[in-house]
Amino acid sequence: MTTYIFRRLLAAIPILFGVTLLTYILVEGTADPEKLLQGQRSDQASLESIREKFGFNEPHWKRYLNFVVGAVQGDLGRSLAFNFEVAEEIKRRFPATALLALTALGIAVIFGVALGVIAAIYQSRWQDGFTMLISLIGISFPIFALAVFLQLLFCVVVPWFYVTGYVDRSWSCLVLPAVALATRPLAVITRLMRSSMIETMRSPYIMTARAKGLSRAAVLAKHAFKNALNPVLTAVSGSLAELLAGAFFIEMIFNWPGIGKLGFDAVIQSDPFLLEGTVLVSALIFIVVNIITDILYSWIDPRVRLTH
Amino acid sequence: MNRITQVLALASVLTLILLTGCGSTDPQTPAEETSAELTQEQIDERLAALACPADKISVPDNPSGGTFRFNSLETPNSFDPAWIRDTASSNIGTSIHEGLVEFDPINMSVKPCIAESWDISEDGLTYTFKLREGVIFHDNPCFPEGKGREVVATDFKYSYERVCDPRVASPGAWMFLDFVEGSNAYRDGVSARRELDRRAGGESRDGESEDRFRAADAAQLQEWAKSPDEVIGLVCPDDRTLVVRLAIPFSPFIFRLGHSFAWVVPREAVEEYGDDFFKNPVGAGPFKFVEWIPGQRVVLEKHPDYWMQDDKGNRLPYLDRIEATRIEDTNSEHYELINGHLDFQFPIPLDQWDNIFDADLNLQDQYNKFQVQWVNTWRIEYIGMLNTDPIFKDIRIRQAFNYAIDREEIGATILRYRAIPNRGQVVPGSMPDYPSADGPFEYDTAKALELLAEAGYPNGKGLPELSLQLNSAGRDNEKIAEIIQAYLSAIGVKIQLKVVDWRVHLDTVREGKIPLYRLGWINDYPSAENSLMLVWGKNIPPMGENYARYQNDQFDELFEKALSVTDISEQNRLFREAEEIAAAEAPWLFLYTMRRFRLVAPEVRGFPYNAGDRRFLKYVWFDKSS
Repeated sequence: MTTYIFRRLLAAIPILFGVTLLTYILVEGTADPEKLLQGQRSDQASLESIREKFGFNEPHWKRYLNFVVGAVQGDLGRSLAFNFEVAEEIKRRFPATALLALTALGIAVIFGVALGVIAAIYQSRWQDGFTMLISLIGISFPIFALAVFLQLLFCVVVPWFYVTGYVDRSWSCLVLPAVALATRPLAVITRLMRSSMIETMRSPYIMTARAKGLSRAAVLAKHAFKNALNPVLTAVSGSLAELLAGAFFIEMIFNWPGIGKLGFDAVIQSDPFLLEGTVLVSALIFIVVNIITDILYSWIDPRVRLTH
Repeated sequence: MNRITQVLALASVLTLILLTGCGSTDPQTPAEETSAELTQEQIDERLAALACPADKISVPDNPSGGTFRFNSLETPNSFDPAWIRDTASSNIGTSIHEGLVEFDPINMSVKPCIAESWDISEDGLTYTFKLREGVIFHDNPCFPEGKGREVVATDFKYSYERVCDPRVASPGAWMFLDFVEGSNAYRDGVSARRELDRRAGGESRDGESEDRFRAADAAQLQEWAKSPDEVIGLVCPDDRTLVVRLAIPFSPFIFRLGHSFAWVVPREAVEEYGDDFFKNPVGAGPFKFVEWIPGQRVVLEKHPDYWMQDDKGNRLPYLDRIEATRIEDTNSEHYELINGHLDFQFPIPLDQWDNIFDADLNLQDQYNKFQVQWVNTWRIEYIGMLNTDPIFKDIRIRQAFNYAIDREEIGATILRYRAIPNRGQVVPGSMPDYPSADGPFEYDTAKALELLAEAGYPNGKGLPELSLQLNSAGRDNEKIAEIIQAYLSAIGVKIQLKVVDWRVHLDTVREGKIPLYRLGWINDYPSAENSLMLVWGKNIPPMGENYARYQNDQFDELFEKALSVTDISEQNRLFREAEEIAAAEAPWLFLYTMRRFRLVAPEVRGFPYNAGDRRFLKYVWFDKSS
């Protein structure tokens, strides 16, 4: 197990290099970041001192190398647009994103699995049709439109919640963004759970279990359910990585102070250090979550061996 | 069957809810048919009808304070005056910091602030400021026993030198460089000594470098390094007196001293917090910094020792606390305002415009309790024409373009009440004490065609297809460009539109590669100089902002003469004379000046909306009876 994790982490190094190099080329290689700090009113003397202060005097290979060396030591530089330390800011914002992501995922898994099971049990009946309709809407409806719709309905028409804010304003601020964010994964999980459950229930070992006299409920709960969860886990881990890397629109609309909003600012301001930092952290999150998923797989389904 | 109908019914209800949700948030297209025929008088009448109590500064005996909440759509980047370069930071910073002078909250003329009076020498070179007594910095642990001390003249010398210091790399060094005696020498001295240190540490000279100091040889560096380690033009004969000596006469200098880069900071705080001073600001303004959580909020509270009193003897500021949130989404911001969690919104989101106003600019019922404020801003919008271009060096073509556009239509259709047609003003009409007058370019197709024919292009024949480069800010720039395209094609001039990224746009325009480009300008301070320098011959890039590369010796002579006149009305008379010369020669295709609106909560008072959008929260109080 340890060697497996070690090997996977080793394999991640070239990925991280690729990602950071690409971001560096796209951001710093193609623009003069010092100009970001100047308005329309720019003079040679100020440009000179800014280049000097932020190290833009150095050749590109050296600047990239500095970034890598810094990143290894946990220093991602100082944001040009907002001044603060990038690493510190990401660390400070991660809990907000994690809280939102986990809550949303929790909602998605609980309701998604439940709805999926119901749909599978009542296959082709109205319960099934209704669940599938809801999940179709959940998949098709653009998430930012849903967010604004929720705001309008539950903050303006019936003022139950604050329009924007973080849990330091009120814990109820978590509800709307989490629900909005949960919608898509919930719909996906419902559909996956349904088809996986149906497929499992048709497999020979289930028939065997039924034939040996186990009740339908016992078969469902003991045998079918656990095995049907496997593909759902893949979906969950994919969503988790995505959600942990920040939910751009939701964080923006609900003013949720997480990584997504930071990334959004980085793009809007084309802030090189902030962009490189958020991209690097997102890549890292994807890698780590994937490794954890693979380990969980082998635990749920012993047929999967951790070789690679 | 029954079940199917159930499902269908539910589904249709759901779709209905979702669709209505969408419909009400979709950006609505402006109702063109009603406003297109508006006359100027009608517009003026409707705007006048919007006047509200918050426009005035008048206080009762005991104005009530409380918490004032506003939102900034952009993230502030710094509360260190040397590094405040965006509106989000300066809108908050203006409550924390103050300088020698400030601007009148209504008409933006220069007023005494920490300097209670000043004297300008006959030759316009020496400014002597008398500092007010009893101006105290905010309490902060950086001071002995945490108690704020009095502001003295050396604090200003320190703050201004800091902005000139290349180690600080302030984007505001242009405020002082070239003007204040010894500022360039001080700057070069610091850079040279730093470069010598670097070389002493083993690093070598880089002859190829763009940087003067890295490229310089040792002898040159030694020469620069001899400069004094201070700006010799900043002198403090005593604690209450600051003398600023200029190297050349520059009459608008007094306006620059009201700018954020000229706000005063205490040395103790800068040294205590170092690189983190930007998020631990200490100043002498009406509000004291409490906390800043990036991306969430900034909190300020009343500075109890603030020097100013109103004429009823109340101490300013009236507010106890300011909370600035950071919501990016304008609709979310708007809902917060409606729910009473914000005290004003600027700008009014266009998506909501039709919910707020009817076609006659009356407030809709549900907004009746809110106050609406508007102002003619300092923001001008124009299409730049590269005056050195083979086509545009002909004045007649530039004039023809200016006659070809009906500017009223931009205001009537796309920008509605938000655009004031500009028929040839380089200086925005709302500049205080400035004798503004309408420009010469009425919409006149016949005249445009005549001028084109004189220039050798009858009906546009012989002119190649031109390209108009613009950046895409929302969709307004494109829509306006399309209108211009249509008007120019009516006189036979074909242009195509090219949309690029803002940074690329500004760089290529600056380099003089683009014959026709969209650009705007917002004044940094209320002086005509800050507008007219856009067409000053000595300001042609790379050194300045005259991107159109307009050059007229007569203009330059008048402009430079105005710079050396200390009397403001005489100064403005000369600026106006210069402006007339430039306007007649059409350095740009003039478009419009921006008018802006904001929505203010019912109980807010003492919060006038001024042309520079400077927010003086020290005058604000709440009328709890409303």
